[in-house]
Amino acid sequence: MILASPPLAWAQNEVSNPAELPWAIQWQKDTTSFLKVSLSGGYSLNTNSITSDDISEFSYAHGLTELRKQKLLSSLHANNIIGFGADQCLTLTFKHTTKRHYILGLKNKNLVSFGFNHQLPMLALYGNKMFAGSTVNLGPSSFTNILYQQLSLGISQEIGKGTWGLGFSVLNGMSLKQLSLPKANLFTEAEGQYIDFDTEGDFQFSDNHKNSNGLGVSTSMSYQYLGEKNSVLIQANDFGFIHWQQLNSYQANKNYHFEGIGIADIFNFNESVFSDVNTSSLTSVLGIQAESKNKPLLIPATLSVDYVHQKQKIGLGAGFKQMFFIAYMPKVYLRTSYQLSQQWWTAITVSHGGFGGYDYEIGVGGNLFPKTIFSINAHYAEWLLAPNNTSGQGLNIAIAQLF
Amino acid sequence: MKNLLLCILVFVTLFTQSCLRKYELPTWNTNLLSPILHTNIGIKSLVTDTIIKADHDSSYTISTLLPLTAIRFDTLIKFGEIPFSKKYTLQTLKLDPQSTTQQFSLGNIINQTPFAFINSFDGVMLPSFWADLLPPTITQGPLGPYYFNANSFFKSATLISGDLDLKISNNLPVDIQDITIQFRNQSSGTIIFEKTNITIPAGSSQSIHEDLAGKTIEGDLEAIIPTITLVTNGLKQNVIDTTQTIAFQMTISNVKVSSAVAVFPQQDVIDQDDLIPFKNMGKYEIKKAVLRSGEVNINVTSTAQDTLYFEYNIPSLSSQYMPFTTKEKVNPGSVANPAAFIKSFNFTDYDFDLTCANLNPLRHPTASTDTFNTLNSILLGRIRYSGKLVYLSLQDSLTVDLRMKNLVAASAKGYLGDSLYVVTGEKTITSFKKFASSTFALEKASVDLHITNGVGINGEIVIQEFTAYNTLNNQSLSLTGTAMNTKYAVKKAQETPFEPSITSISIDQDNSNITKLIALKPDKITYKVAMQLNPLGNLHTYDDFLLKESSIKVDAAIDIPLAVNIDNLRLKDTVNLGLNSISNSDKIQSGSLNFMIDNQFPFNAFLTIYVLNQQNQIIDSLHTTDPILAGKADLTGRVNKKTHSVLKFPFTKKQINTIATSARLLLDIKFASPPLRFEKLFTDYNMDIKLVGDFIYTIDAKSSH
Repeated sequence: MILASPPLAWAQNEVSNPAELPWAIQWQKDTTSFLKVSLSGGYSLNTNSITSDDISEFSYAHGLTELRKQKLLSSLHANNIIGFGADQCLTLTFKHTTKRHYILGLKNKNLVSFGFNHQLPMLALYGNKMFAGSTVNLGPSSFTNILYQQLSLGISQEIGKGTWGLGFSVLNGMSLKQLSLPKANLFTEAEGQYIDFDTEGDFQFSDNHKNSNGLGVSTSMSYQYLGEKNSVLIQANDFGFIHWQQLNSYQANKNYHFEGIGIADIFNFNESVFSDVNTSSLTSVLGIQAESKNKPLLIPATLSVDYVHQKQKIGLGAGFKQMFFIAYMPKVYLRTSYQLSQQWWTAITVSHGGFGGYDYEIGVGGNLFPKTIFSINAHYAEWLLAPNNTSGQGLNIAIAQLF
Repeated sequence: MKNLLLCILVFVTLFTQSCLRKYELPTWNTNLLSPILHTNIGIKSLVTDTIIKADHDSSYTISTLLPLTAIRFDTLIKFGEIPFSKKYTLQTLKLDPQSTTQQFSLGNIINQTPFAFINSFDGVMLPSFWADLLPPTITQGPLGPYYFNANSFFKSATLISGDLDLKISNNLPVDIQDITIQFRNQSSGTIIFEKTNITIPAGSSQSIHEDLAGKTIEGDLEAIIPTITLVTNGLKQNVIDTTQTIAFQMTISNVKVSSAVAVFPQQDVIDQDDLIPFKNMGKYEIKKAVLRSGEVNINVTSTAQDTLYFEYNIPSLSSQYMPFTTKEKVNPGSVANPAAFIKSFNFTDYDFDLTCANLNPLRHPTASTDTFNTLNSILLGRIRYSGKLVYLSLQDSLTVDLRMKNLVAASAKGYLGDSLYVVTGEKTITSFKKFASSTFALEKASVDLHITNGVGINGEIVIQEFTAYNTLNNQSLSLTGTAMNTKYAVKKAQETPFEPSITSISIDQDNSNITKLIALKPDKITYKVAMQLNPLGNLHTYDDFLLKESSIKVDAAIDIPLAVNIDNLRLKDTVNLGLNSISNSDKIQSGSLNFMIDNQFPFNAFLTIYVLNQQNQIIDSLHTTDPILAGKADLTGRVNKKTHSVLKFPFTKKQINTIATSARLLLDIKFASPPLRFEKLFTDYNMDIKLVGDFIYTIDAKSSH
């Protein structure tokens, strides 16, 4: 939800928007403009273990060498997180009075969270033969990918020294994939005569062939104080749910024993033994029954606090952000901004948490034209400067036009 | 501004740099170890179409059960088409009793000169002067004609029988004497009857009966009284009342007409109970049957000018114990243009009682109620009261054209004939196919013909021909000996509870050359078997029966005592794969197919896998030097513990691709045991086989993305 005075765009790694505060003040004081149209988008990929170099290798290499596999595995922790978020946003803000604004927004969100232990990639990279005669513990592991659209309507009202915002959204659930494996132990018999898979977990996914698999609602609230030198922004966004329709759900809560396909007469079996193994055939062999369920699920809500102290050309800020999403850790950051010119600012932010460890962001923003505002911020620096020791990358671009 | 441009340049550079490299998810190799299939092989898996039997000496006998023929009898009994046509004329036509009354007052009777003056004293006593002048009797007449209207009863009718009752009630104060009364049809003047010299005292009545048989009467009738004599005492002693009357009440009853234009009351006009014998039944004498199919077409025509309602019953046909009955009607017709009614009825699954057990003895006092091939049908024709005048005649008729078609019995009881069935055929034997390269040394063999008779008819079976062929060697041999052309009695099945009888005919070395036939390792046999039903003819017990499930099956049980030289035993069989049967085979780089075998058979074996193309040509092969190790026998000569062997068949990427695109695999198992050593085989001997794939598999993250 995008509220009135608060940031131009609210994306994954927006914390380094250096012009955020000046723009907010400008928009508040501008008596000649009544409408602001903002277009923004960005993505962020982060992890607490796999290095940027490994991600690059995985993304752009043709084949993984043995050395690369070893390096990848060596960077893993006991518990690993990979998170990804991407969004695109169109916002229209109508200035009804200097104290009251109406906001209409359309947003597309894609969030991925993947948590796993170090044995899962070992199995994926080397196969199960190296574990013959022993058990591989694949749990706890979790994976969630949610993709939804958000149509929002909000209002902001200046009350006293602060501005309060409230908004409601209608959600279109486009896609959901969710795997939860609290326990998953795979045992391969020493000669491969059988495989035991002792698991507790469930897997659910929406229909890939449809663009709408459920509807939902959410609400957002904000409070912003804009002072001459200090400003505070508190936001609670995306508290709501999507009622997913006809989720394909599988539940597996037992020990599966597989010793190949049983053949009554080896001289009279057909080719089906060797035919494609797909989800349905695998679940059939394992005796897992698929169910079609309608299910309400909370969307990832976000709680954030942002403080900026402005002293002449330098701004100092700090903040906190928590997304209520699997594997997301509380994120804290420190930020400094500098006014390059009358119209341009730059900022550097150091943060810790979220889907990764330390991240270093840099941003620049300003007025391209008197009423055209542009900003870009990214955290590629660590990827470029220390790819073997850091993780994560992201980019945010926003442009706004005042009318 | 320079700083600004520098910053933007840095961002654009970073951004575009990241886009220069082509995004492509990687591939990598994994080593997978996966069970593929598991199975168990016993001796039954090696020899198909067989039953393994353990002899008393623990050696094996292989028994192959070969179904030769099965004769089903569900369409054995077909009844010929039964045309039945009969013309039923109306048997009776009745009319309801009718009554009409006419009265003559005193005033009317004495209205003639010279006694008409009496009317002037109506209500008073006749003065003595006038009374003294009156004679003792006065005669008047003629009176009438007086009209009687019977048109609501009939227009005209010719009566076969009928009664006319005329009741004359004298309500006058005087006796009347010498009355003459005449009834006649008004239009034709035909006199229906005439009565004379009727005397009725005052205050009393008299009835006159007239038989109307053979007479034609009309609805317009009239009565004439030519003379009537009054005794005058009553006039002299009583107050004159000219309104007092003589009443004539005419009643016509018990009328049966041969024809009439009348308002007919509801009545049965046809009641016909028939016995219809089936013809063309040959020697079948059927008592009871259940129809598998059948239909009856009924075509009824009527010349009657009134609607004819009819009820057609066939007590011989019933469904769930309810006899077949149908109620229909035929619209009014005429002789020139008869009305027709046509309808078909389906009698599938009806019970057919051809004994006429429910026959009405009053209607058929001499007919048997335990006959056969005979159908009982009852036709009831009826007209209903319509309130309209219609012409009906006993010459009117109802013609029933009944046609029973496609009557086929699914089951039947009675005498079911003495048909002769000769069955010829040929059968393929696959029992010896897998041992084509092996040699057999047979001591003895036998074939038991099992005749399973599900028909309730005694029979006789004769083997007329039995020849064994080995088409690979182009050899054949026919059965000879006393087993041939001997008549073997076949008992009938038991009816309640139903149980087929089983007759076994043993063909062995004592009565034939069967051992030589089996020694050919035949892959085909031909046969000719004759089955004679009821060879003793009709004993009039009528206890033959046929049920839906009745059949006569002939199976040949071929028993071969297994005495084989293990060294020669080689088993070859193919496993069909189908094209592109192994998915993603291109991602398998190399590896091995590992057979984990736990063997209880007391001999070693060597397995070679050949890859065949569509033309069954060998295009590749997988070899191993690993043997299947023999199960180790204990001191009793029995193997109780299986021996574990691992046979690894390494393959290359090219070979796995060849297998993936091949049609089938040929498994060549060569068994081997120490020379000149005979190993006993026990029925529980078996071999566990597990196939495990151990291979390098390339995962393509792009394709699995």
